[in-house]
Amino acid sequence: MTDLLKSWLRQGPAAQQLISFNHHDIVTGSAFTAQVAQLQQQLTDSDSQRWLLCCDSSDLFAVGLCAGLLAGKQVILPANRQAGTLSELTHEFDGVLSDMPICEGKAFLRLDKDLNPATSDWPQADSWGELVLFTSGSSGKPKRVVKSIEQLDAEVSVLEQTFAEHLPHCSVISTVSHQHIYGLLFKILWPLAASRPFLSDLVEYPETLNYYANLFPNLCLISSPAQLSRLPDALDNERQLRAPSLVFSSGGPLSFDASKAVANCYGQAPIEVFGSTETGGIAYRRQHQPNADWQAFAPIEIQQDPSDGALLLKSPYLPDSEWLKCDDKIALHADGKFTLQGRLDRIIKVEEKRLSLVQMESLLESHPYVTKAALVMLEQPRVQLGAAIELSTQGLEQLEANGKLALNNQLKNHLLSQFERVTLPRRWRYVEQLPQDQQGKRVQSRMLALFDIDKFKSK
Amino acid sequence: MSLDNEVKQLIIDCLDLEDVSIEDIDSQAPLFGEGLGLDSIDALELGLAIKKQFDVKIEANSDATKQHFYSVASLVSFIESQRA
Repeated sequence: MTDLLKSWLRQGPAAQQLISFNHHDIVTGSAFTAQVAQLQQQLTDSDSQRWLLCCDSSDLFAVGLCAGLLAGKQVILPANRQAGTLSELTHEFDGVLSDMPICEGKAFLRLDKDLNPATSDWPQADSWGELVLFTSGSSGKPKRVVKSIEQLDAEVSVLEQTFAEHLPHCSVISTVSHQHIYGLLFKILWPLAASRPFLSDLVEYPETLNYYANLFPNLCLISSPAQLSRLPDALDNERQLRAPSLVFSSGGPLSFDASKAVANCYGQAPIEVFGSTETGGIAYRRQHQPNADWQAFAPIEIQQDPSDGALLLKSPYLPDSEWLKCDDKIALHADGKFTLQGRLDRIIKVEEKRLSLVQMESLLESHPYVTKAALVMLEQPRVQLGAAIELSTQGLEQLEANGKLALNNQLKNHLLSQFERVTLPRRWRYVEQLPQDQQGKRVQSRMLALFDIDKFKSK
Repeated sequence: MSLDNEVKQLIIDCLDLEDVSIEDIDSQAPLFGEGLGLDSIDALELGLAIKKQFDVKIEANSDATKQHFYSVASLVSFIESQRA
């Protein structure tokens, strides 16, 4: 069962393969083929080589993705549509594939549901294109990650080998976006290659999830801790009559409590996948006890850097066969499984969104009201950022004139140019001086103490 | 407390909004994005809290749900319509 994705991309879907569905319509293999063929031709006719692909609807996204790859183009996936994100990438692409014009001054091909081109054969590619994703690097600059079809194919094939027996004729629905590597692989590429239809909409609410869980006997749910940790309450923590065949969780750590609560509702704990944009999937587990060990996927070799405990890996999902040093600290066990012991850099995740604290601090410090900014992770009542700020004279005047809430909001708006709303600091402290030790280093415990007052206030 | 203020207080409490008081929330302003500036996780938590406190049924249709959760005013009329 190797080359699953590559052989699917060569042949295209069978006419009767159901590609995707939602409650208005379905996309069949023949309709999908016709759309891909038309767009592939338009792309082939274009001189532009690098195309930004951004679309909420997963079926149109898949059309753009396949057409781009079959036209030998570079397909650029932005993490979101934030104006700042797109303008930071502006030198990375020449054209835009989207359902709406999102960027002036670039070639634009519209992805449109209502275009029904005549039937056509699946386009044959001379050479396949590649994907480019971006992730936050430690320096605060977005880091470019290129994925060839070979790398993606290796990963899709391994996913099928590892999990197919638990997925009888499943439909795939997702609460995570296909613009990121996890959703891209689990919701789009793997289902396409393995002939499993996917829901073209993103599932945003537990009520919608429940609706589809009750509709389909066999469902594969692609989700993340943000949704899964809140889902059991929405289901009144009761055992559900209809449950997905398999639940995946990735994008960040799922707490043991959340895993247990999901198991209580659905009869089985989610399969958690640990990985990153650069590495793809590394390992998986089901948490039957807290902080359970991770099992590396079959073709992945794991070692531990003796100097700092960092995870080292060799993987067919990587562009080369060298050892890659990750910024995750691990404990490696005799049976080859491992446990995670935190990050070695200042890259963190808030609700699965990876971000660089260095980047956010420097963006804050670029604001005229801010002299110095320091961010800390707070764990309660949910994982969130606290921002401690030394204000400039101008900033102090603003605080005096308009109050703290207005100032918080001004700084949040400034951050929105590059960061998604869900990652923004929720707690703000304006201090005369950031806590430092005599060497001028920030003191974590005193930083945390700035936010301590909340403990007394909380319900 | 008026239903309007009850909803505002629930938003502040369940989302643990620091620095925000009832007077700071405009009943007509959007709750998400611009306006109060709530995010997608807040939407999940608020949906659950509204359901629990006011015993309302939230539909699977996300478009309708989005309209109900547009502002405090739309939430109030949604809750009232379910009580009627």
